[in-house]
Amino acid sequence: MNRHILQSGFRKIYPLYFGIVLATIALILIGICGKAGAAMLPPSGAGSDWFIDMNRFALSAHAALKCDDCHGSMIVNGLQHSDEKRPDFLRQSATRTYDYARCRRCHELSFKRYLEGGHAKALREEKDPSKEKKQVTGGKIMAPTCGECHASHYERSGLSRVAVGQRMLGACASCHPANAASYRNNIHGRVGIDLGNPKAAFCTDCHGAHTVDSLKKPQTALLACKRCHPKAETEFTGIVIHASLESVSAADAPKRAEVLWIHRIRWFALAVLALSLAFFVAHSFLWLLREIHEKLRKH
Amino acid sequence: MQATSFTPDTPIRFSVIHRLLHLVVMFGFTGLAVTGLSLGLSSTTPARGFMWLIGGASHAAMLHRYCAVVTYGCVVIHALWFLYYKFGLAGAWTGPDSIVPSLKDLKDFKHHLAYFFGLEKTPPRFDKFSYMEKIEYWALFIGMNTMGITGLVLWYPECFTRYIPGFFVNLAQTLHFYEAVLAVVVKFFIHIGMAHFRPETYPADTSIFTGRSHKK
Repeated sequence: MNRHILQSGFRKIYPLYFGIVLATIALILIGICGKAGAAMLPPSGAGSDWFIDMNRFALSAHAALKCDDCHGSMIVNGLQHSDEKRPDFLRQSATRTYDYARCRRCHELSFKRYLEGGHAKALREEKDPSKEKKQVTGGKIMAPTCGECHASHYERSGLSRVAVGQRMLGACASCHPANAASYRNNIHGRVGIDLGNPKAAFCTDCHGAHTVDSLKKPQTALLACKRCHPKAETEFTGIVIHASLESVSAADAPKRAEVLWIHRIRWFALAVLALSLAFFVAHSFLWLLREIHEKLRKH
Repeated sequence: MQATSFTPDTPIRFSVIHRLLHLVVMFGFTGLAVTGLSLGLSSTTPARGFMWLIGGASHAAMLHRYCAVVTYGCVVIHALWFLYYKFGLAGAWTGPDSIVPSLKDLKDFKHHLAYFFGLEKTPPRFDKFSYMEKIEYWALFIGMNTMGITGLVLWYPECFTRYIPGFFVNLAQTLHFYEAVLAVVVKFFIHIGMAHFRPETYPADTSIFTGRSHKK
């Protein structure tokens, strides 16, 4: 009777095991179908308008401030608000006309870091008439100041790390869509944005909130890596986080070569996958047809 | 199921160690598949739901590594058993009972294809292991090792980047994902489908669990 023990045990786990298998298959199928629909980003919190929703403002981090704490005399570009003689006043971009130097009064450290950082550097270059940089942006000022990333009237305080990270991705993506997309495909983006793990690294955890360094120098990048990977050494920074050609600058030839290799290996793996599956599926299908035919013939 | 038709002289197809390893790998592999695919398809709602169910990405990572150690442990035990079989029991590498591919497999394959298309009246008489089982065995053996190596690189990137370029970690990640998709589809659809759900064997081929062969 001993030999029946495993047999009867198997009878019990058989439905369970195939239940798991079927559930997995269903998971994969629903997953593939739902992938496009579920891949929506939370809305970006950035940007301001001339019109303020006071209900939302009352919930924001700045709710305790009075209008004139930030807007003072309501004089912008030498014009008094509201100027009845200039009705096109409201057609200007609110975030482009506001003097964000006023933020400095409360946010001294952030402001100092911003001035030292990549965005401020880009702004100086765009405003410098001697530079050819203007050709890139068509003469428009593109580099962000405070208001491009922070919605000063509506941004709430006390959000969780994950919620801040998700909103941050939306803000960064409005100018860096390729980098946001490649980050989302990376392990950090998957674990942080998709699965909501607060231990994951969000944009500013590596690039710095106001310094916004592009981390092109390995030594600078290593400092960022080491915050979570203390055992990392210089070559660790060679791991490509933004692994798409669109998110690597055209001047960075070695990195582009690496990304190209990642693409080639992906195509190779995909070809092996497709060929193997074609063989297995075709072989199994023919086998099944023949066996079903034999079975029916004998009836 | 043909379970009740055992007699003491029913030939034994799989010994205890192989049955046990198959049982452990069955659960280890399923664990690896569900946790790994949940990360691979992390932007989808079911993957997020499953991740939430098992306690988030950190727990999934822990479970995935636990299952990986258990599953790869089975590969190591199997390899050790193979050495014992060869040197301890002085078993043969080749022959009708061997898992090593031979010329007969090629003939069987041609014969089997001819049988599919009705050019042969009967299926080929396979040796102990058919060409299909041999393909699956060796694909799994190679797959387990590449998954093990790439997985180890992804587990300890700090250590590996001391010896290999950083973007090799990206390559390991790419290979790990596509190999995983291949393994999951082949095991869950082809292997289970063709080993158990084929009209000949439906509803299950129990020999991997009981060890007893139910054919000649």
